[in-house]
Amino acid sequence: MVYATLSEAWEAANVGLEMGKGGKAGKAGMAASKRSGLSGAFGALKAGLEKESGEGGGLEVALPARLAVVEQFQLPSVEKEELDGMAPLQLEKTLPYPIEEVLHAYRVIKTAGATDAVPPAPAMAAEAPEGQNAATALPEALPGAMSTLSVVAVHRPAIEALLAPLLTQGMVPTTVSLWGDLLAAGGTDGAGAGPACAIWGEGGEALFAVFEGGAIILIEAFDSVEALFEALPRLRIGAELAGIHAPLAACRVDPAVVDLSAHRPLLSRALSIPGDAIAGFSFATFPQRPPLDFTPPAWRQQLAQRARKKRFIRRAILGGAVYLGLLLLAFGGIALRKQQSRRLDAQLAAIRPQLDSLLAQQSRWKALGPAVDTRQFTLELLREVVESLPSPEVRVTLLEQGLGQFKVEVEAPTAAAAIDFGERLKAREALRDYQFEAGQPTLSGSDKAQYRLFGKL
Amino acid sequence: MMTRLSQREKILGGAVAGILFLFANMLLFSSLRKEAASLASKVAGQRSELASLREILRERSLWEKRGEWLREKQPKLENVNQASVALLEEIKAAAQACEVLLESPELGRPEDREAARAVSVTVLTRGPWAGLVKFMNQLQQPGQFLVFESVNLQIDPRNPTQMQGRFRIARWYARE
Repeated sequence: MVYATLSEAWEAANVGLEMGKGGKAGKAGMAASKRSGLSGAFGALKAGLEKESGEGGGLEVALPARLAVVEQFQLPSVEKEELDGMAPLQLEKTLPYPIEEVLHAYRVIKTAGATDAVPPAPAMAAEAPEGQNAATALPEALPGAMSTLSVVAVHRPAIEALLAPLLTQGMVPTTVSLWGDLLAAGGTDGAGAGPACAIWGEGGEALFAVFEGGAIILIEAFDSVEALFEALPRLRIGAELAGIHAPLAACRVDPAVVDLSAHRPLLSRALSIPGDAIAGFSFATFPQRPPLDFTPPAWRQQLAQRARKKRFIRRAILGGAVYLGLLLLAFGGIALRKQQSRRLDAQLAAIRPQLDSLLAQQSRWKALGPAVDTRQFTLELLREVVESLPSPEVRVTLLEQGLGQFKVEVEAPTAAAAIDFGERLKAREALRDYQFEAGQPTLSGSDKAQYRLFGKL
Repeated sequence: MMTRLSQREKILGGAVAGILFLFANMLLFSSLRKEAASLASKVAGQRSELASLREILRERSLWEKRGEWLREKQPKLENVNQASVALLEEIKAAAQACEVLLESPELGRPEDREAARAVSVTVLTRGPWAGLVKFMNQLQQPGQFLVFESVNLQIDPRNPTQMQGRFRIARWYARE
């Protein structure tokens, strides 16, 4: 994840980008500060984003406090749906621009009415109407219940104007939050459930904020750190007036704004906080997702579209690779077979000359078979026929033989005996090369069965 | 002038392109499959041929011996006119020795066979089974190059204890 905080000098091309790499364990510390102009800053940002894009990261923008309006409302409900409707109506009364141009979100700080024991619920992201964001989760509705909300609103045209340089470069933030809200949600660890404060700088200004339950209760900007230090007693009283009656449990300070080694005693005295509870920011406890997200719906759609396109391209590349793999496999298989065929051809060509004379001899021997091969002698055929007779009652009445074929006729007492002879003859090993044809036995005048069988090579 | 395609046109275009791509691939892979099958068949045939040729090569000495034996033993036809007469005399001698009666001998003309020149004699015989078998055995021996090219044997209708036969007996001489 890449974080970018935009300084006041953005429009003047004197950009202060602070980038930090986030991990599963939390966000690591700020890595670098680039003051080399827009192009250098964009280059660094893009490089960071491209590196992160493979890990599911994106550009998260934390807005300066000057763009936000933070209000506290007490509303007569604890129902989320009702608060979702009431908050913009209440907000509309205090804002100098139409509610349609506002992106807002709220946190429930306190609920009261039926019982004070109901704790404020942690913030949750929720959908809101076009141009609006809302975030909350509430305890069960009770008659006469009241909710104290911390509502943060930002003017959409202001965000779009501020981030126009990023947008024109094609860098659409995945989340737009308030830097102060990030600090409220995670940057003041150690405060436990109690109130805490933070001091940091934004574009030459020094900011002081008081948080409770992860929400901004009080936030104020000063021209310098010195002015902020002077106002500390007043701010402490201001916090009490805003409902922070418990002592502040911790204070987190941006070391780039306040030299802690020099000013820790001053802060400790002015805010009534033990010295060891005053420390630098801890990015390790920053939330994975910003608690209040002001990303305009149009940007979300654009990001979703980009993600879809990227997924499509990735799948198309994968599909193309599989397709190419299949083609390569098919062509490779054919090439392999062709090579095998060529190799076998070569082996055959090498072996054939040696075999020509042998094949000629073999062919001649086979042609002379009836004269030299005893298995093909007529007497051998006669022996096979005689040995196939199933009984002395079955007699050979005719034997005809030509080159490669023969016909035999038998006379048997029954048709079954005649057929038995035919089966025995066909089964002779010496006659396995012959194709046989046999008709049905016929009965002669002497009540004997006549049977005829042909054999051909 | 170029105009941007609507979403529907894009989908239609994509569908048409997809169908064409599928069709082209079906043709391509079908032809590849046929080619592969044809090559596989060719390779199998070549392997089989190679195996049989190697088998023959392994039996080289046997076939050389057989060739040598044929060159030595197969008679050569030197006198066409005398050959059939000599064959008939030989047949007569065998029939006399086996107590087989010879009838109606016919001398045939020399004819070409696949690997030989055949000089044949056709005879009718009459005699008992045992005599006939002995007659055939005496004539047809491996070194004689005698072939019973045509045989017709049946029980003599006048005397069922006798067999009558018609034989065309040929000697296969070596071809020039």
